[in-house]
Amino acid sequence: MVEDDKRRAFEKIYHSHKRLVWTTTGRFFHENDKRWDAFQNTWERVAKYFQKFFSAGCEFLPGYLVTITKNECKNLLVKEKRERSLPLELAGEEDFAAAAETRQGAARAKELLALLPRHYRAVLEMRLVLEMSNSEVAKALEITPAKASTWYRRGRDMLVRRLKEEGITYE
Amino acid sequence: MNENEALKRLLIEANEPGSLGITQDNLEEVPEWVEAGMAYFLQNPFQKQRPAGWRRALRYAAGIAAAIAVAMTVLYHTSPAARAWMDEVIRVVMTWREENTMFHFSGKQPEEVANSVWRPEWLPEGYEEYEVLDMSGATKIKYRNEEGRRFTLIYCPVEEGNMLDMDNEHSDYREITLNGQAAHLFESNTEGKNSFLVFFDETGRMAFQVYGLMPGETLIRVAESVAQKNLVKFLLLLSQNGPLKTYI
Repeated sequence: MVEDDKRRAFEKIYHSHKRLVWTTTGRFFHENDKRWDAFQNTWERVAKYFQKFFSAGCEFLPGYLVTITKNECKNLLVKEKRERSLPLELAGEEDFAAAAETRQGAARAKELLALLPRHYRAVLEMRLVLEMSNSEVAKALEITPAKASTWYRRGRDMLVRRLKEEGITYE
Repeated sequence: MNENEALKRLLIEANEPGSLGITQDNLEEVPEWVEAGMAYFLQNPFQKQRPAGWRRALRYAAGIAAAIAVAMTVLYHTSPAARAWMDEVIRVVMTWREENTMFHFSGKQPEEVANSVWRPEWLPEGYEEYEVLDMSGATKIKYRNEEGRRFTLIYCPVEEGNMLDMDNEHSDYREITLNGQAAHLFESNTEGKNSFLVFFDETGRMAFQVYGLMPGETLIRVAESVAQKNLVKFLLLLSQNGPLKTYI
């Protein structure tokens, strides 16, 4: 993409989705300065990985943007030591297993994902959606690279295993 | 689709706005001060080495502005003279940082000022207006010529929440006078970098920024020609005749 076309495409995406990003920051922070930080960090990341972001396809843009925004908000929370939602223990594993017995399909896959321990899901989003390296994840969550790697592997295995057990596949 | 792609898609789909209870009906408007703060970034979102301080600078400036605001508020409510003085004089704070310069505005302008429409009556040869963006408080107008060279005019009322921001690393600064007011020229000294000019209308109630890959003298000439348009007449002419070159 020519540089100017790229800039115009960015500006178009910014103007059509800025309210979504701003509103998402409000789900994590009430303070305007924190929301401002998260808002800017989000758009900086979008710019940094614009080619990948742009090629994801229009239908995925909102989900992609919410993922990025959530991640930037969580990073700020971690930095402030306010994040209590990334427990070290494997909380929720039993719920995850129990919930695997009922419904089916894509909606079910999302439910399974929602039941994944939050620190696993956070690492999966960083690695698979935001394509961050293991060391970047470790730095963002202020954990060791070994732990980041373990969380990724366990979370991924747990999710794939449950999806397969329920016969959920992606074409 | 491989397994990683499938998981990636699942993770993205699971983060649809609805998952956070966000719908079209409850989207918040982006505050004007945020829009103003993003203007600098949007000028070149893909700049590889963005000054590390650009975000901190805004916060720093906001902190200073907050401290000043507290002091000013006390004065404003205790001294009629100070109140009159502030109403008329203290509208612009220029903040220099290592990599950029910002103009923060305060006060409130009457609606007819805030909604006024401005255009240059002189353009460098071959340039035409091709895009107008309403940026919640500021208006951004883009011009280009057949060779694809561009320049931009931004204008906004001098009031709370509005801000102009520019790179100062690749330019030489000088203060000049335009419309009887101090104006600020940042003339590029680096090939491929924009020159910037910040200026005000005669009343000091409307701020303008014009920038592009062109000499300072050209920006000044554009700036000197900027004039307020009669909104109704402007829209009428625009609908009849199309872009700028036909109505001046």
